[in-house]
Amino acid sequence: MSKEILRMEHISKAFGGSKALDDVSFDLRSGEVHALMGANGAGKSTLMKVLAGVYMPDQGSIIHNGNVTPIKASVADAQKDGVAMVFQELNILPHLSVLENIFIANEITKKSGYDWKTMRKRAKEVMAEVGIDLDLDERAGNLPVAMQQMIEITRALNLNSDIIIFDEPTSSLTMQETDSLFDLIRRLKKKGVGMVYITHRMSEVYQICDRITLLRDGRNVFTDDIKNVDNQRLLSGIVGSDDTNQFPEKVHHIGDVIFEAKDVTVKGLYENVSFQLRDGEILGFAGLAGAGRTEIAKTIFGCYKPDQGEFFYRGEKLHIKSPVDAVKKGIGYVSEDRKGEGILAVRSIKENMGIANMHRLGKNFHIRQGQEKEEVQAMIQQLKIKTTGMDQCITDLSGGNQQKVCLGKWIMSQPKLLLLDEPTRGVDVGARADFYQIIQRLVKNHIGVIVISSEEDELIGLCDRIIVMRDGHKVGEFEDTEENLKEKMLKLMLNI
Amino acid sequence: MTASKGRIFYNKYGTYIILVALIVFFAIAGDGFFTVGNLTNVLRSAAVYILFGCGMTFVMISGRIDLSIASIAALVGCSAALLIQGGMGVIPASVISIIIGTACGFINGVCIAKLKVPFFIMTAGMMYAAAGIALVITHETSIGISSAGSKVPFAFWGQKTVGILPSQFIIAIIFFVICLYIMRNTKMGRYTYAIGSNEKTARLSGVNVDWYTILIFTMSGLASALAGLVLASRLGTGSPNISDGGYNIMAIAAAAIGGTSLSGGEGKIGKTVVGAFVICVITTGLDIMGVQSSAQKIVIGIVLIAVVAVDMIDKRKSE
Repeated sequence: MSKEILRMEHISKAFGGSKALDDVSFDLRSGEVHALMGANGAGKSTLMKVLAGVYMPDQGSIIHNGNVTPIKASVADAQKDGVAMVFQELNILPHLSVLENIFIANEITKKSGYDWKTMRKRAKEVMAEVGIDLDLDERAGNLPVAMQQMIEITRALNLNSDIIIFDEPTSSLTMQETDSLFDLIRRLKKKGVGMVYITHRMSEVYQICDRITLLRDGRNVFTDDIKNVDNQRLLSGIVGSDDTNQFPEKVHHIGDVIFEAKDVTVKGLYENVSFQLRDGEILGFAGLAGAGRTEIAKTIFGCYKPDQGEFFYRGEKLHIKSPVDAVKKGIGYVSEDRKGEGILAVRSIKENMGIANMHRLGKNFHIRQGQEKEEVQAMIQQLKIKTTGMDQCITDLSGGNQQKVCLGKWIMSQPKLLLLDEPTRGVDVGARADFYQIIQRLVKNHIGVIVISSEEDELIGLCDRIIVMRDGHKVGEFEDTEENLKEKMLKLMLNI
Repeated sequence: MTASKGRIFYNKYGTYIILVALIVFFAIAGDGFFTVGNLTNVLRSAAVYILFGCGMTFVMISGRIDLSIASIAALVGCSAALLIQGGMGVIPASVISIIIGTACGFINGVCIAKLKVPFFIMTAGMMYAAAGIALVITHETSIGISSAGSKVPFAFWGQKTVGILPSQFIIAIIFFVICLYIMRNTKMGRYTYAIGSNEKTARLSGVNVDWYTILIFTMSGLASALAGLVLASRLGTGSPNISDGGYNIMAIAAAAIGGTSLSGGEGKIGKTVVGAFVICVITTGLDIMGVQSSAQKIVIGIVLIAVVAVDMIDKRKSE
């Protein structure tokens, strides 16, 4: 048994009235990958932010390598102490170079100022350890997300961190990128680095984690070796009951074609894409990041102008020049990037939902606020959004509940066609079932639904038909009844 | 983060408490603060800040800043003076001047929304251009306004009183009430907050961001035009020097003291009015105490920093 490097004891943390952490304990050994799981709002990120010095706990102690860490810590202190966190939303400074990012706040100096020569040499060494070879002068923002993440890990290693926290590191990575990240994690294990791995993806936990700690509602549920934990135990632990059937039964009342794309091309993004969406079915789009799926959805929504091709709604040609037109025509788009383009950060739930409905709620100059309130309240109940009320600021909600608001604003708009781009990204297992049921209900009400997802199981469980994209081309289309569907999809996506 | 009870109380009433405290302070320390004459003075100067501040609040909530408001006001005042000097009636001269000022705001909006000129550069450019036009058309002098021949005297913009209420204060309050209505009850208000909170989200929610950006800056132009007429009327001249009067920063200060965030998405137009009063009470109060206007600037500077610093306490904690 390897030695314990970290012990967090009886940690409690409240925000205002609500307890985010209630007497939680956690420990980490050197050379282990410790999965931290739980529903959205279970306290995973909060616990790790306490460790990384972002939050100050109300109670409890942190013992790192036998020393009690002074509780009044900051991120800088935690880093000095060897704790690094790779955040879900990456912390790269996009305008600075790779080199500057690696050494930010940890520059090597000589008498006359920064010692770039030594920093370059050191950066090359650490990057070799990580297994990447980047141009040190490249602007970090120009690199793909996976590489930005690698820069963060490089930075962490350069700080001689012995604890690295990964907060959903694979949520925006392609499969190959995920594999190389896992390779790296395995190498770090051998070096004796202790790693905390926050994720919602169980398959990943089984692949690389040694132990697992499960939280629910800010409390420990269990900590155990991964070999003692099966899917069922994990699911019921997360959900808090034995009801773990995620996907609702499919309806399969396939009717007429309601939406059609004919030979659509946006140069540089995707080419000659055609597909049909029929009444009563959920159409899925599978593919790696960058395959052109998001771009297709955004073209339908009016963000890109097609160079060629047309869209039809129930046989009628759609003229959409901008999202303004799209919304008026009854099309909604839920973005894959919730923080960047999904929520209005400092505003209330009501305003976040109302914003896409002003064309309906507006009467001359006036907003019919009474009706708006009723509709928002109905949405909160229908979607089971956990909130103190519609005036609560959206950023006070957990990720899953924020996502429900993002979806709710479109459901409220009584749409004809909904484009859902990674609708369950960062949403926990318990809440996912809610989303699937909601989506199914939409389809029953004759709303066309297109789901883009990077999780094959989700597409297979939810969709009636799946289109596979690769490098801007449609490379396959399957009914969900197809045998060995997942394997066939993956083959096409990866071109193997 | 959920705020503490004290914080919620402060957020709601803090600016009012500061205002009341200042009034009490000057009532005790300054002789003659509570005279009708002085209170009328406070209302007169507050009117200008309220007008400028209301326009600026729209712009700031949408996440931008308008540096051209004082120059637009100068141009409007000079235009009105020249038109009246040329024999035009007060009402048509006022209307044309308002259109000129509003058009300046519209041009700001179009260049920012459509040509993608950064707002800071665009409004700084307009600040120079409008001030320059005002100087050129007046040959760098103040133009006296005499509206003796007109049925309606130009003085109605800023020299008359109704009871103890100065006319410009009534104008400012009417404008404020309209702004308040827009903010609370109309699409434009909602969209202003939305654009300031997250422009991309607003766009992807079907908000015509370009169009509302133009409207917001046009609104600021209109507010500046009204302030320009009030100032010209009060001074009795159309003066190009108004553009140097520090009104840009004062309007930002009024909004900021009222809690409007410079990063957009947050703020209340009613609080801007309170912020405007805070500034005016300080200046007139210090006037009465015999403090020179140069020294007054120190006080206003410190109050501005202190109020915003207290506002940020919670945000500092949650980061």
